[in-house]
Amino acid sequence: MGLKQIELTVNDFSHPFLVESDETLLFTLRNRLYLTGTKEGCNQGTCGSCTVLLDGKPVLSCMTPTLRCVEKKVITIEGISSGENLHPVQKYLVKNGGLQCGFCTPGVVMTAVPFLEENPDASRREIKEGLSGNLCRCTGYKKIIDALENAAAEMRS
Amino acid sequence: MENLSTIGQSLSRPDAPEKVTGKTRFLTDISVENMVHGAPVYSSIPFGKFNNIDISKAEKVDGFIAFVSAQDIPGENQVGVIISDQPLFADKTVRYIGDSIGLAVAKTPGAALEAARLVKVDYDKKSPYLSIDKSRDATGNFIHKTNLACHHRLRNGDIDVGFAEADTIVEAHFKTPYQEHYYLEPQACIAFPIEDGRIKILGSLQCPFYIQKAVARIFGLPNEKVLVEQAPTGGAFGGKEDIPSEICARAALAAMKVGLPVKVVYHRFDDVQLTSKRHPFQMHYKVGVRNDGTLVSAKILLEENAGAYATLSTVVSYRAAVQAMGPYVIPNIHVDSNSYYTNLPPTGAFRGFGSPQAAFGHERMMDIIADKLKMDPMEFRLKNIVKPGSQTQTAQRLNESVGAEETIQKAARLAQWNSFNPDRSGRYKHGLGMSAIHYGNCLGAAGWHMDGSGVNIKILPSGDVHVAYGLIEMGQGAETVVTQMTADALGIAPSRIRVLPTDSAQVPDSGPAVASRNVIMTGNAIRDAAKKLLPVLKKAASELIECHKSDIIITNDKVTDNQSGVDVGFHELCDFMSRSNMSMEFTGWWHTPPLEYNAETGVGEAYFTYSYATHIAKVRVDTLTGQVFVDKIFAAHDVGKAINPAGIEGQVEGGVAQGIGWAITEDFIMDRGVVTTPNLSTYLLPTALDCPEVETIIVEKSEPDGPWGAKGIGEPSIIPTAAAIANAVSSAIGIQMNEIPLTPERVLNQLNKTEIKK
Amino acid sequence: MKYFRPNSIDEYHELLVTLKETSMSILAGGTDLMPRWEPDKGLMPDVLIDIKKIDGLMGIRENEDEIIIGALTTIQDIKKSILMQNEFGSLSEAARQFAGVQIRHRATIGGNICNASPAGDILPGLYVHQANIQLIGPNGSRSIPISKFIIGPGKTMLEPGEIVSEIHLLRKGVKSLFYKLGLRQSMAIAVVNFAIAYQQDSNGAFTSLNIAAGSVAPTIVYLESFVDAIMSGVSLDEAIQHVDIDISPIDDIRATADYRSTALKNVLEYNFRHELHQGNE
Repeated sequence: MGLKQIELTVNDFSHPFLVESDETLLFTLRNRLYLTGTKEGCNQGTCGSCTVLLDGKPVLSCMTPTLRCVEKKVITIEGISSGENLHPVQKYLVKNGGLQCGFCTPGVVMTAVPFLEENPDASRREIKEGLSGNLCRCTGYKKIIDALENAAAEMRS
Repeated sequence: MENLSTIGQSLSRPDAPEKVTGKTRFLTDISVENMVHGAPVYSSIPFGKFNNIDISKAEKVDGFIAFVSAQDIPGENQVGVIISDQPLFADKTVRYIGDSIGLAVAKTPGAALEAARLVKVDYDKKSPYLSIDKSRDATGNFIHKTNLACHHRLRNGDIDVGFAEADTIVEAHFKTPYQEHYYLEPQACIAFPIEDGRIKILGSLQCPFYIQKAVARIFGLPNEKVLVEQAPTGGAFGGKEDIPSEICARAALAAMKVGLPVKVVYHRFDDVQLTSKRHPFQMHYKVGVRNDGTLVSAKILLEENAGAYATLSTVVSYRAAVQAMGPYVIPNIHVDSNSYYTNLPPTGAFRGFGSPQAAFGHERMMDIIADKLKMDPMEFRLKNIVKPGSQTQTAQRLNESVGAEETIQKAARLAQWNSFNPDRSGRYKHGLGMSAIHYGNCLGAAGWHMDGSGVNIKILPSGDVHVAYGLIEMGQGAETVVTQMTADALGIAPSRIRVLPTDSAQVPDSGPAVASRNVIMTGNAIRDAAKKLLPVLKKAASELIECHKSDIIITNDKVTDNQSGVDVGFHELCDFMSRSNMSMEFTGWWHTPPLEYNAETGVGEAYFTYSYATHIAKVRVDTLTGQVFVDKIFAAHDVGKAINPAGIEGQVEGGVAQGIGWAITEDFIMDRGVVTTPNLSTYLLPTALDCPEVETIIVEKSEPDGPWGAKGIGEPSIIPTAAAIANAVSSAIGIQMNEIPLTPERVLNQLNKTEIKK
Repeated sequence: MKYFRPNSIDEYHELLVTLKETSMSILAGGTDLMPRWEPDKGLMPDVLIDIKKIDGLMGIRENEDEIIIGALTTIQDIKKSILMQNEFGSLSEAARQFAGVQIRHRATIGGNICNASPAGDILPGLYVHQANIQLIGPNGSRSIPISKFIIGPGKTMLEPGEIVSEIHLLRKGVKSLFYKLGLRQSMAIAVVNFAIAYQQDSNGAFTSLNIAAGSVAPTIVYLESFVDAIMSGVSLDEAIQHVDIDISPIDDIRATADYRSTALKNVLEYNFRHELHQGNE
């Protein structure tokens, strides 16, 4: 299989590197850029753990061919907060105990951030709908939803 | 009265900031130099023999390195954790689709997977046993020496006399299904060869010491030659109790063979097909009761589908047997709990460990009897509930920390049980259902010999405190509560404490991280260490401050001379101790109290204490489709003492969600031994929209042998849920639903059969 | 595998002429195709043509008679469209219930049509609104009604080299609703779904009625016998029995044929009685 030289913009940095033509963005992020914050839960587009932002929209990186991302902006969990300053979504997930094993957490953050930016007044029910593509096996979701409600309030103010 | 400054507070998780930023490196995220990859080669038939393994095609895969199989084992080809019935690599006989043949090793995970798929095995097929009934009724051609994997019994009182005294005798049959753990991080480990012949394992795991023993056995090495470290683990729920032992042992064999670190990450399809699940149960209950609602006699048969190997079936079967009639007083009881081998994936540990199944039996039974007696199900339960001074079904006298009654009362009050009076004329029928349980904490009489745990507390000159413990963090919040308990045991700030990743080289064998035992075991071990440590600290402080050591008080991170009021910071004391060449490392150990238990009759002290819980489910049934919607769960839990209330809520909310999945959406299906629901679009975990709001009520009946009075919560959280939902549905539609999952189809079929429709 | 990403239809057709490979897939959103190749990459075609970048195939536009949806319009865009919500309620509701947000952002209406799943959530709405599928091929373009375009599970009338370019919906002031029965409340594949498009006169009598159901046959099917029975004025109780003439469900891991039939009839009857006020409430 032929490797292709491409340039990918991830977290505002442009990286030139070689990729296989059949690889997914998830594979590229984890194995070529060592950005392991994006998790591989099912590789089937069914769990949401690998969610990243592609041109600002949440997508599943396990179902996105890397070559499709050329000339687009990819943001991963590593690009959501800078240094010690957590994004309100992250801050309240910590505060409200909205995580246990933490494996689904980066995907939850990557879904919640654009959702709350777009829907700052979302109701609890709407937050649940917005998050329904992210499976969590530990928390039962309640504290995640609590955290997102609190984050939304902070993002509104 | 002890001065508690962090116990009882909802301290936030120390691991949370790294988890929300993606910095936590789970095992699957870890790569090391020169690492190669392994993929499992396994049986494609449910039962039979094989002669030849042909790897010629696999060898041609680009990047292929080695194939590891039974002939590479220097020690014993055996990984059975309790019963020695499971070879690490199948030795001529395969017993389920997934039974291990070998491990293909290659340069990349993809090449390993491809090579594994290309290994060809010739089989002579035998007729497989695919159900409990077929297995039980077999007369020959057994899966092992016999098809009965294990049997536990309880004989207490005289059931014939009991039934003769009964005014009403009720019988019913129940069935509960498989449940797949579906931890979001699959099974994964890395095995490293060490030059001096030792082996190191890094894994996504629950029980480092199980792995240590399993790997040592395979190599014929002493345990200490195997070092096991836990990497951050993306969920376990029992699924990483014994299964990692076999995966790590195979990876270790491969690592020693090729002389390189070998990483094995199960692809999700393999994980679901190969690894253990919750035991399906079929249960027969016959219970006698007086007209006033007093339970007098029970005869219970529990039959469990153990799958191809016993793994942990003996202890699952034991727990189900001793909890079979729930938290009720019943003077005459016979229980038989039989686990049968089948040619299906082995079943084993899953949160609750036989308890959710038994709870489904006894709690459905309680509702069916109450219905027969025209009694309120809550009143009927309260009539029979265990109280301080009561005896359990195994004739164990309960003295303190018996909060069963209070959990019922508090849950009922919050759910407005007494005023619930729904309109049932429309499309949606509403129902309220209750379920009460008890759960024996720690390993109990069947596992007492390994029910001890240790810690190692190290004071650093900086004032930081490192705690090494033998149990693990798998998401449940162990690090958080270990931090809190250490802080209050020593009187210092939680911010000083760092809980180290679990490492077999740092602590003695502390048994498995299971059975809701972390808080109790590690907490008591911390207290033991603190007992040795505090006098040393006080003596040092008296030298530093120049006062009497009996006047020293360490609290709120300060070391104070109570006489003069002079104080120093804890870190100053540590610095002084370091400069004075004092010992700064202390170990602690605790084992559960001895139990008097007769294994022949099953009578006696089964567990040293019990957690109690009551769940009330509020449901809505769509009579047109049979869909069940859970609108609310009220969950009251007697935890002895809440070390971290938010952590307890988290456990309860998560347990309830898994209980909802088991009760309604998680329909695990196999076709002749092949899992036909191998992914998350066919095996349906509850989503955020499927999980209701959960109201957690914490009841604190202090346990004298628990640290600060605490008992376990991890498993009690899931145990009552499914039964509460089934009770609510049964009440809503007026039909006894005795089998789960309550799929729309199962519910609609029942509705149609009884023509209650519309 | 070779990957191509043409920028225009012309570029796409030029590309086709040069390709020698035998197996080829067209990638739109990728949400159905990508999981099929996991973990066995050997299942991937020799050539993957990513059409997502082709100009002019995205977005919803309107003229006096029609609403025209570009084939690469995402399900999320359909969900958010006020136009769709106002005039094509069943499609708007189907988009709302479609998978999770990440998939809605990638999955396209054209891809959903070409995937031709018997359970596709977007399809019943397109059937009842009698959508026309516009195709562009090397030899020009053509238009086919959706019900003729889809011919079996995963099978369509798409000729080699053709792609779906647009979906045309006539604005006839028809109301429509969508219903989906899944095994959980989100991220579920329909066990049964259906859409009803209808017009009623001031007395509540139907002046037009069209129903299409999914997951009850190899393709989405029109419930023609049932509709005929209703329109001919027979009672709802009797008419509902005609549904079994229209459908041919099968057993699979999600449900049995019997269940699909029963649940469909139950909910359909309920909708006619309580939402559309037919028969006795």
